[in-house]
Amino acid sequence: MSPPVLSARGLRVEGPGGAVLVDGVDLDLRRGEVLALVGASGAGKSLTGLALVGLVPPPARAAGGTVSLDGVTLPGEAGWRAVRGARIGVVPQDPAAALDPVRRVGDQLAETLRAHTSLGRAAARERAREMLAEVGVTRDDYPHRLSGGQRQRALIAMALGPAPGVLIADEPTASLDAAVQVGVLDLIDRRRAGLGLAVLLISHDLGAVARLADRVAVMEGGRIVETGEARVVLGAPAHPRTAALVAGVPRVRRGGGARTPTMSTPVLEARGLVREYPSRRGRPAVRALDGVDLTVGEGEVVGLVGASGSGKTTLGRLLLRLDTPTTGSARVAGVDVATATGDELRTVRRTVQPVFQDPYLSLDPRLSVGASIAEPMAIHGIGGANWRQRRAHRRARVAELLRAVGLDPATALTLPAGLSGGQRQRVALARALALDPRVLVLDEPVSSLDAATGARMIALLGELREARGLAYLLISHDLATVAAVADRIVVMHEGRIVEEVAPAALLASPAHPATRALAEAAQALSLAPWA
Amino acid sequence: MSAALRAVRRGAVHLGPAGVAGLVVLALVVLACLLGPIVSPYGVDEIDLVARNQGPGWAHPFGTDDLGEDMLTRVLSAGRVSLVVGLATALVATVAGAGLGLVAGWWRGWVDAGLSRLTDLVLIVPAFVILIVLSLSFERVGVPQVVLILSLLSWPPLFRLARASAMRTAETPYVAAARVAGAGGGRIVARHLLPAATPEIAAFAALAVGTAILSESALSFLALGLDPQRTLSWGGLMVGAPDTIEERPWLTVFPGLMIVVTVLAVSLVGDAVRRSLGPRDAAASAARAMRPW
Repeated sequence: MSPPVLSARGLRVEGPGGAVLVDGVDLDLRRGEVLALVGASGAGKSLTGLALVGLVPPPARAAGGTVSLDGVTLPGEAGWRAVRGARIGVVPQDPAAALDPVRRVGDQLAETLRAHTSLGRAAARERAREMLAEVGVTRDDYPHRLSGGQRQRALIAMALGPAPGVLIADEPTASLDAAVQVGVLDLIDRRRAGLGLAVLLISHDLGAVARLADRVAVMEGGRIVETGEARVVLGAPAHPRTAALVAGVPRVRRGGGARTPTMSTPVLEARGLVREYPSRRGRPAVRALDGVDLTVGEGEVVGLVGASGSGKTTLGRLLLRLDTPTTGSARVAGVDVATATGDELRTVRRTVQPVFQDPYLSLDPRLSVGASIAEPMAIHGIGGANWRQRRAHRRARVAELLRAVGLDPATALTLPAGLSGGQRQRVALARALALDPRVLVLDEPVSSLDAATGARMIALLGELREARGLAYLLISHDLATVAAVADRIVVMHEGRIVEEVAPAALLASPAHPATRALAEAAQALSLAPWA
Repeated sequence: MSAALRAVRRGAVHLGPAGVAGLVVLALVVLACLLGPIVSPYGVDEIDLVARNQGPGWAHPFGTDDLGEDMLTRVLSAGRVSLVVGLATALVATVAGAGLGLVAGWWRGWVDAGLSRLTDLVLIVPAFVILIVLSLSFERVGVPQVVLILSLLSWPPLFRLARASAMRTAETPYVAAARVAGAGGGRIVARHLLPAATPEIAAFAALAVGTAILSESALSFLALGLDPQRTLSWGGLMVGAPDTIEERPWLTVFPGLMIVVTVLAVSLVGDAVRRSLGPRDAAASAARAMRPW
């Protein structure tokens, strides 16, 4: 076996107050190998990656351990600057935040090249253009005009520009939809094969890991608890933590599970919905929604899937009255959402409630959990004639709702800052249930959570549905998640609904090309081949 | 008693050493200005021709002026006026500026367009031109007039700060959730937008106290502000500086020092408040979370 390119011994990172965040991590990364670092959120994966290049962000600090590159302890005589970028490339987590918004990606890539190579300005620019084309970014433009996948590709080009021997990729596919994820992962794989690159892939997404990694290291609480061949670790996990992670990955099931759609009274109804964003500064008008008809019946779970930008979220916003349609109507419990006022509007509010994607932005960081959950009830003045009764009622309800979503009622007094992503999402769910709605619009409720947490959240949604007879409009780009719970799946593509079938039929014989693309991507990222 | 002590200690930890130092200095200045003139053996306008033009010494720590009036007593008495003007101006400017800013940031549209153009207008016209014109247009310039004039000039930055913060917060999912729950604009502004903007507003409001004290001094120095014969402020004390600074510097240096010390202390406190209210500092706001909903 070849000696490791990059190896770490006893890496240790401490947080403020001496909390140990990374606790004695040993890693070896060989040429041409992909080592995946997996684990739940907060396990210390990202910090380990940053510690390898001496970039532990304050207030945390590196508290020990050595990193060596080709047998030389880092930082070498020339210091970190000679290592970062030139010999160890880093692909950061959030492509939108990692790029300079006011410069074209080509210029940013050229700057990287000039910092690490002896290329002149014009030569660097030329080389940057070539490299962007190689990774599949066909036009050099400002980051906000590129798609999420293109931004991530540009960042990979930037990390690989100075031809480093090691690439550290921190959740390179976290914010991308499945088809784009596959493309980005394959790009990293090609580079690994072509250049003999050693890759450290940090991810909570076991589907991505299974596709790319040779070896897997599982982290929990700042330690590596299991290491081994990817196939072995993911196929037959030895450590209970790994087993929990693997068990949490939603699997695509074919046949079975799907209920026969029952004809019930519609609780959400869209008729010919069009949402057009007017043209600005010479750019043509954009039709985010182009004549959408959709019905969600009482107690029914409808999955709404589609690639990023297909109009899923816009549809959800119109049904929630967060946006107004250009033409067409959105009805909730028979009331037109856009024009409702007074009592009718109150009916709408009490019928449909939302859960959003980002658990970190879904709760006001300054309000206690109890205050957030109680807010809808306070707005509607529920629970008695005078405020004393109402407050007592709200307290009782908050405790009851917290128990219903599987949290300790004592959580009511804490601030969201002390909660994990999964806990926050449960609090957001409890708030959505506060008005006893009949339907929830769930906009990517689990895509920011790691697999195990997401699976528990999905299970909770199932229980709540049984217990309360709720209907869901479940919006997601992840076919596997949706197929596991939905009675009916609706596929959106470029603002239109292109297919509407039972989950089993959808996976067996996707009719529309957009559906096929989603199904193929879901299959490519699944741990087990489809049964 | 020990509970109160613990609360004080917790507050001190949140503010940090710089904030505590600022607060202590500010408290000393306020206390001195309140009590000083009362306990002083000299009256504010007590003339003692025997003790004219004395430098700092045991009997008169800040010296005396050409009528033998005790400068320490005069500085502390003038401090009452300067502090009141500074605090009142910051209060009026903050309530008006931040209030309008939150309204503009939430409702947008023509409300925002109108208010923003108005702020632009105030910002582009040179401040001192407005100051001079306004102070000349009043028949008699007293404390309320000075506060009004200075507030008119101080609210635009607070407006912009609050407006930008409101616009940012309005985009968050938690505000969307509140809207879907049926919250009206007033509730969202009070419950979500205002608390999110508070740290920045508090820091800037503290700066506004300092700026107001300085501007008031400048106005008085130019004889456009309060009449030193009637209402003495720190700026008013320095009116004679051009003639006296060389032979009797204590007449100017001590009121000037008071201004510098006060403004510094106020901005230390403001900075500490901003840091301690920041949402990232979970421990700092833990105490507030205990408030029942």
